[in-house]
Amino acid sequence: MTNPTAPLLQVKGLKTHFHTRRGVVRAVDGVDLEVQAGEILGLVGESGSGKSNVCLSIMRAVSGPAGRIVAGEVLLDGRDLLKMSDSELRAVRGREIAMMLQDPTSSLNPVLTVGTQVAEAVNAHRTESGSGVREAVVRALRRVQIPSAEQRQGDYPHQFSGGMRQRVMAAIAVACEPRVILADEPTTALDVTIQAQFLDLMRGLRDTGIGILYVTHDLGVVAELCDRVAVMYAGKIVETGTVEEIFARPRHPYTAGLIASVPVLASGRGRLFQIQGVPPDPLDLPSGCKFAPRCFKATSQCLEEDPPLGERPGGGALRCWHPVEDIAELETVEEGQAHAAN
Amino acid sequence: MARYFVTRMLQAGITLWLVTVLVFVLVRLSGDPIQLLVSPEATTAEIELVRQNYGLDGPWLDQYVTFLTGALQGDFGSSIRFKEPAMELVLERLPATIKLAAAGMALTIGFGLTVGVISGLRPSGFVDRVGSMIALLGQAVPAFWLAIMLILVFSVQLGWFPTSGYGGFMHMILPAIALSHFSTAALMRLSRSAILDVTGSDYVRLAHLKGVHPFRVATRHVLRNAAIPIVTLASVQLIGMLNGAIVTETIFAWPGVGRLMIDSVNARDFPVIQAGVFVTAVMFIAGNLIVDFTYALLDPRIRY
Amino acid sequence: MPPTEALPAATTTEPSSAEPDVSVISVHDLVKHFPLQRGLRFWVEPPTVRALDGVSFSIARGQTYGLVGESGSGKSTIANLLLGLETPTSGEVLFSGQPVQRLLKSDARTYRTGVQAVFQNPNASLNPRMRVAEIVGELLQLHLKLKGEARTRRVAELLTLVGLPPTYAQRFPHEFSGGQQQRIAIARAISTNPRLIVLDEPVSALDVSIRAQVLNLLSDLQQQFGMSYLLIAHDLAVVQRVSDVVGVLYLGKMVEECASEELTENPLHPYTRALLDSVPIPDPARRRERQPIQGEIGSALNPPSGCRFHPRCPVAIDRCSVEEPPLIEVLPGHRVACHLVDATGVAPEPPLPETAEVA
Repeated sequence: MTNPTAPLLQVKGLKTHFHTRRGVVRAVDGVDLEVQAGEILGLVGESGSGKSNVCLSIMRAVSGPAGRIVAGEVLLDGRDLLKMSDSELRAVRGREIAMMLQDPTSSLNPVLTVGTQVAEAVNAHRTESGSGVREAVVRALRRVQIPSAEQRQGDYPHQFSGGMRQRVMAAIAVACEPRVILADEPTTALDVTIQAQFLDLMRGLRDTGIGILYVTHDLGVVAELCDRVAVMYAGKIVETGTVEEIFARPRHPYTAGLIASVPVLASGRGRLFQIQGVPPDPLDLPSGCKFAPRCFKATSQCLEEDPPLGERPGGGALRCWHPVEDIAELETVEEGQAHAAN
Repeated sequence: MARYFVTRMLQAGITLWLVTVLVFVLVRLSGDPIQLLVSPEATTAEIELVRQNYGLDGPWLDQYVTFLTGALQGDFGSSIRFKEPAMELVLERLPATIKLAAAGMALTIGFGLTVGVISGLRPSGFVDRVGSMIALLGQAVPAFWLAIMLILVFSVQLGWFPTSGYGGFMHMILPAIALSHFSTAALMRLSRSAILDVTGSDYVRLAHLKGVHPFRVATRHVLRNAAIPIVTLASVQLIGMLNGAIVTETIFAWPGVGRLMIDSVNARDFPVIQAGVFVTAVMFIAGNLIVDFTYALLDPRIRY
Repeated sequence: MPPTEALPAATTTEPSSAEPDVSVISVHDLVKHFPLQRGLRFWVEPPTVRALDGVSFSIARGQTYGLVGESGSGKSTIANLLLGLETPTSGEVLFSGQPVQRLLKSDARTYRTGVQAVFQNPNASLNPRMRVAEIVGELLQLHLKLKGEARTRRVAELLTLVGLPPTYAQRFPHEFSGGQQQRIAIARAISTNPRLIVLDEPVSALDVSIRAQVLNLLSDLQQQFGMSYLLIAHDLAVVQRVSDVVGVLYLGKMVEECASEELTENPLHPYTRALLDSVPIPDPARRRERQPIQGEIGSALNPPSGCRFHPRCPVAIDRCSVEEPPLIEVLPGHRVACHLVDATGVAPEPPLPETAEVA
């Protein structure tokens, strides 16, 4: 058994830049994170935060030629994926680390059967007989609880519902029994009851020892599914910690603001806390702390100096000059907002 | 799937019938053919006689019924100019047209498709840059100008090919180029963009993420999916070549259907016009049907 | 702050009562079927998508009515019907007591100024070739015949109301972020002082940190101008927070309707309970072990017989597959369509083996 404290996946100082005509977009700007075996790490962020690009960078599948990984290490069991040759990388992709994309409709080839597409993952990594491949395909489909797997492998993607297509994606991901799965917002397009089934599936996979990096913007999913969470803003990680810690004592004003602004069932009516301003333009990032223009705790230091990622009281990491000490601070701000509105 | 076939066939039948009506009406609206056949001093009685001979008397509906019943048996009347059965005249010239179209298609696919696919797989590469220029020229240059230029340069100046006339391989090359230049350019551009389109899609990305070798990704996903729009366009172009070779056939004195048609229109030889348009329509509609069915074969989504 | 007293919802949620219709909009037995293409056997009636199969509810003045449901529930169809973009197969929609279909023919302007909409994707609902001033002013010009100086002033007013500087009027939509675009769409919607605004998933396409801004704006505007909202969304938490009354839809039928707080305090219908159970709550302290509901949402082409939810219902009995339960008021202001909710308004208990089956 592997060393329980050594993480399966370790990302250090990852930087991915996109060179566009209007300038350089630092989509991923120095990201550190790690995923343990049998753990689900949630990666939370909004559009422009860089969270999808983190996954693509780990797999070295960033849209080139404009996008390039310019720095960092991605260690899978100690081996740096970024330094591998093309053939080494291909052996790892899909086999030890697999990725699920967001939209199941566009991620499955419409003219190939589902069975073919799952088999492709198997064939890329194992030399099995034809019947061996078929068995592996059915096994994968069964593992993700697709009913009547034997018959359905000959069906085309459009013959499946949205939720089932997402399971097919999961089947492709687990076909070769990977150690790590990167899931890029797999449930965003799904209905709530279908999403609940899918989250259950994810939990089941985690319980078999797979490490999952789950990218989402839905805080509810993070709270329900994840063990630890990392919050991203403008290409950087701003806070990490266990899910219980982060939700009970969010320290970064962005995390705290986000949690406070999301409506929760059975928590009454009335105004919500709102984070002011808009997410920054990736081509025109503010100097200093990237969140400062929208932060209710910002000082001149925040506007001038970008805080480094440091230790977080209570465990995890934090990137902030003036963290939130108490939730009550937000209530004061909220009252001020309500006042201004009236 | 059966429903798809049957509906398409029914639609084809109705379209064909509508074509006959249209042709019938248009030919008669464009002028009285009898005037061209009789001498200017003919008396009204003589004109009437001629008119009766050609069945151009009587109400149009009767004429149409006669025409349609004849058509269903393959009898389109006799050519006014040549006094031979109109349909036979058309069918005689059909092989020549088909040969030329086949040559043109070979060029289009051999050159246009190949360059287009390579351009799509390696955008901004050498082939892509050169190919784009050729495509632009091909679509900008008018057919008749190109045909004449080809003759001037390659026949007259260089003497490599005969200037015109029907014959074997050497006779076919220049007209084939003139006939196909537009479609070659169009297919080049379409296949390039179809490939680029598919390459950028999520399922191709996922295939790479599975660890599939790039060559397999290209053949199994990219080419296979890009084939759908490419085949559709290529088929339409082929049909077009079968039907629209008028200019090329005239300039190169190629004895095909196109040339026959233009001459017949000038002479108001309406039986031949009717027969020719009918044949053209049949080929066009049949071609479209084949395209529709091929499409259904390639893309499982539209079968149900 | 929104009024702490509930608006008089209890009387007006009951449709077609003997009292005069004080609602802004009321919907009676609304049915919408979409027939599919005819097959080879063209003499046979083609199958229909039964998007809505008899839905009735009403919205009072100044009230926010939330409609919640998953795919196939019919909620978007209701929006289209209320906006007059589709005609009902049967049933009717009344606007201030007048049938909408008739109103659209005789006095379209009253309806078009009285009912407006904000849609899900602001990028798609704003014409990219029109400047903000034209977009916001379009209704003013079309229906209120405002021109020139008067219109410019009103546009500036509206932009300020939604929190945008009036100088933005000359810009184009693509120059704005999603949240700002949605504000522009809201400014356009309130331009004619409508009595009802249909909000079709107004925040689901926006970034999470912006949603609160837009939701707060909507409730501030309601407080200021007193219009009613029909909020259609799949996010239960948003609907509950913003609405006074919530209606739950499943496969074209309304299965439950109650005051917003009641939704979590006393949900009666098994589907509502399953839905609430499935919603992930952003609070790990409230994480619970539960059995997610099995099966797929049924097809609107061929809905299950009897109660449409019975194939997935944990407490279904034989009667459920045969007889469709009517939507009846079991508690004041609380309607349910379920055979197992008895007349005193007690919800059926789920079977105990549920906890034992947790693998």
